[in-house]
Amino acid sequence: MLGRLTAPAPPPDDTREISMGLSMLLLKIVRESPMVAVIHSLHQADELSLAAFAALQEMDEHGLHLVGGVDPEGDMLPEAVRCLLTENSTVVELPPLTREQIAVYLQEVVPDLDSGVLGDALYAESGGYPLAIEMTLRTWAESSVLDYRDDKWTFDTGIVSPDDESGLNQLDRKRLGMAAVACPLSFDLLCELWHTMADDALATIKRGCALGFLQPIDENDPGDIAFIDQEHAYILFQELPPDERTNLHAQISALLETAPHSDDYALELSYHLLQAGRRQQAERYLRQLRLAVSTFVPILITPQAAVIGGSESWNIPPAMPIMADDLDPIVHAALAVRLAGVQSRLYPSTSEMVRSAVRGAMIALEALFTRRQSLIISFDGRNIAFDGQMIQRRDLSVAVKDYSQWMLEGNIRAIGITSHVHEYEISRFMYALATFEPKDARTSMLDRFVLLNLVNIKLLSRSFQTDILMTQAPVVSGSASVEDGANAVQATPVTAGGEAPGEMPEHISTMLTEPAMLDAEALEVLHEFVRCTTPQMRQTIMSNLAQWLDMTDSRPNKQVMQKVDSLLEDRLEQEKDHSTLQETVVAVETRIFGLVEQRDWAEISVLLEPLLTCLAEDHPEELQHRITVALDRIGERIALHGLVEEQNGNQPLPLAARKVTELLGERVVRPIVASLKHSTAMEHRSLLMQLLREFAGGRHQVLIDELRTLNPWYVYRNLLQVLAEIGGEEDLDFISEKITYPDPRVRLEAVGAAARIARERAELNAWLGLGYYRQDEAREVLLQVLHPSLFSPYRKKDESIRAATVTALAQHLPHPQVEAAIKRAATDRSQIVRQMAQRVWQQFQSERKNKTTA
Amino acid sequence: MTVPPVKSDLAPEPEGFQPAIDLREELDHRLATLGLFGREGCIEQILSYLHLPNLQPRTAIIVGPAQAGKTRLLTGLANMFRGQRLKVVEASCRPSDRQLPGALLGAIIYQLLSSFTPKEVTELFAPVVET
Repeated sequence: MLGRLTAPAPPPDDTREISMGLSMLLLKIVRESPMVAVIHSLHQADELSLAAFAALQEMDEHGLHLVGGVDPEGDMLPEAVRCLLTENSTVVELPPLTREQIAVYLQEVVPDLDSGVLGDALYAESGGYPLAIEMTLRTWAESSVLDYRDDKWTFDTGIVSPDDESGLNQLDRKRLGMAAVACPLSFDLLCELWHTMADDALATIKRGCALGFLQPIDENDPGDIAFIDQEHAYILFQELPPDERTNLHAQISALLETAPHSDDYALELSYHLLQAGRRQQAERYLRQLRLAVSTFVPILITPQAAVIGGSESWNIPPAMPIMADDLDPIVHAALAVRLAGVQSRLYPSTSEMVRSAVRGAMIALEALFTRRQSLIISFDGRNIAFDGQMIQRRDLSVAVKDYSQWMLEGNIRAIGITSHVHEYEISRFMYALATFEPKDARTSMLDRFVLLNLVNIKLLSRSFQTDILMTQAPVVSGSASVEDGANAVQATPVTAGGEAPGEMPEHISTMLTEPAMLDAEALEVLHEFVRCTTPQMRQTIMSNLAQWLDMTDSRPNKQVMQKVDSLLEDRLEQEKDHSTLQETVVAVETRIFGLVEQRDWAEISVLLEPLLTCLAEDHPEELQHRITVALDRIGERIALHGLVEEQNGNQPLPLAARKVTELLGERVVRPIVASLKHSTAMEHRSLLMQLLREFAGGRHQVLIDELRTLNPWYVYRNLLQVLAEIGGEEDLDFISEKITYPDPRVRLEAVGAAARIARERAELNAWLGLGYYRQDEAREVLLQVLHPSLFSPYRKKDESIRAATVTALAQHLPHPQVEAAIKRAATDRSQIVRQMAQRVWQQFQSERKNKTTA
Repeated sequence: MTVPPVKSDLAPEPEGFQPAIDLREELDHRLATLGLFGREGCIEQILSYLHLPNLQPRTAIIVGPAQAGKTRLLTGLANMFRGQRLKVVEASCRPSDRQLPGALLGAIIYQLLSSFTPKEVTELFAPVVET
């Protein structure tokens, strides 16, 4: 196994290292463009983030601008945010409004009233703070102190009550205080927390909204509300007695544990558990969260680490053998988890369908985990294996289909689930997996970040090899097969190979374990061994070889690499086992990537040809898909690395490179067009256009597609410039569409391209027309075009025009001069003239023979 | 105060009759137009200090007691920056954030990545992620 080569960096324990990793990522994002982070309640931020911000502010030449709101501690800046006070920071204080400002304010709000009297009362009530002013006005309006009737405002000073400062009764204040602790919480949970019915709760919410405490988030859902200002929430929360607050936190954590979960679920839950004095339970969730952050960091600071980590960073317990009694609970759990994934994909996560499916999955998993600590579900592309042991069972094959597709597209080799898995994790994980879109890099990336928060479900990437997946010998209750009615069960080890399942000959195993031993001779031994071993062993070898290729610098080992290429070519041509072929495709793809770096075009062709042959063969859909993906990636790599860098050298492209591009066809053209769309550097764009002129001939559709897609004006202009040179009559309609484009630069280019193509076509038509004009003058001109004399005015005609004259001259047959000219043209230097002449001559001879026979 | 009944309870109003205006609506409307009243100076001060879109890191800390209008001012500033086509992330810290080191940084990075195009994300992670 090559496991040790890919062992990821362990997660850092030191919080400074975590901080550094996150800061570096943020720095990378903001290095080239300005970004503003607006942070509410900055004084509640975690220390590590504040320290990271302080450090980032010390660094020059990046665009991170931070604007944060802070509650003072007395007259001082809170201790937590003092670290941000550097020479790159400023503090802006928000003073209360003055009496004069309040008077102006009132003239805008209640223009009919004497702002003097009202202003004094308002200032006394609010202290001049804007939100308090608004709230006081609302309270007065609710209690009829302030009224608006017949377009006139009235103010009754006689009924101002200094005690009722916010217009909320005692119960409302308490309820809003509870909501402030719990926020964000759904309406249903809020009713449970308030121990009241929906109508009564809605009445409180309406009063809160009318008085300016709350605002509806969703107009169609009156229960979906938020505090307008967190400061209000904080004040109302502080009014609750300390004991009541502790009980409240306990109630909220109990509600959260059974409710559908929001994104902040684990963090919120741990906070409420801590505040309720349940430190031990809180620690469990906090540990998960800390691990999620610390797992994130090696990705940022270790260049070679993959996003999907290895088992070391996740601490997966060792696999357990599958016993016969385990099969039913395992199959039941696999089906239940799959159902949860399908439901998550179809319905909102809060729907009863999803919740019920997730609960079902949890019950099935709980039953399973009474017998074992963990379960690893792995795939070899066709079969499912549990803890390294392949299970073949008809009812399972239905469930496997979805998993297999998700895992293949997500480049996931195995999923590990441990016994402490939580309902929340199952629903998040299955949703992320089921909605995974491999073609959308952003979605896949974000989904992977989502998955990092899960600690009891682990993913192993396809490039990861570990003993847990590969070497666990199966023990099935003394028997390898169990009959179960219609479902025949067969259990075989994933790693079975050679004469004894699970065993690899020692010299081969040593060879693969120790990459330094892979010399030319060893590869020959390996090559021979691969030819005569079992499919499963071949699959393991090809998988390891792919990984070895990924990790090895192939430049200094040319002789070894020739052997590798020979092995890969042989496997592509001879391999019949689909799983092994799939691993071989991965290895070939990796090898070609290496060859592109070296510009070894000849060797690329050698591997590419059998790979294309493979694609043309009749394989299962999954394998075809994998080959297609590999070819697309190879095309992209060749276009954007190989060809672009060759072209940068200003040397003509070698013939072997042209052959490779011919083999790949549109797979090379599409990435060039995509790169042209996104490139803003003029030099790079002109280089890409040059490549398109050379290689997009005959593949105009890619360019036409882009012409019909929404693009910036300069992309249209560049495409039209290319089409003007390589486009044909069939492209004219699409080019003409751009003649009315709003940007004059595009219009100009479209007119130029259309005129150029149409002119050539018109000239061709003219020459073809001369064929039907059977006069000596016409014939003379056509003969001059085909074989011009030294001073002929028809010299240097384009080969397409010369080919057209061959067609035109065919109308003048039989004629000795014409016959001689066509026979001579049949050996012309130009291929299209030559081919046209040969075709005309063959047809003429055949017709002449028929006439003679008749 | 007489708050007019809900419209659906009323018979159709006769032609030419001016419909009654809800007191709350009128007050809401008038207050909404004065959201950042009296804060013009603070806004000027913050904008000139940040000096956007310069590539020079700056921090502005807005301090004020409860009900001083910090949240409203910050939201207003965020909208202003968005209007200038700047990349803006808005996050709100809660007491629970103190429990998790890196919570705020993580939230900001997540929001930023969400606003990126697939190509930008790929380029950003090019050295560390095999795509």
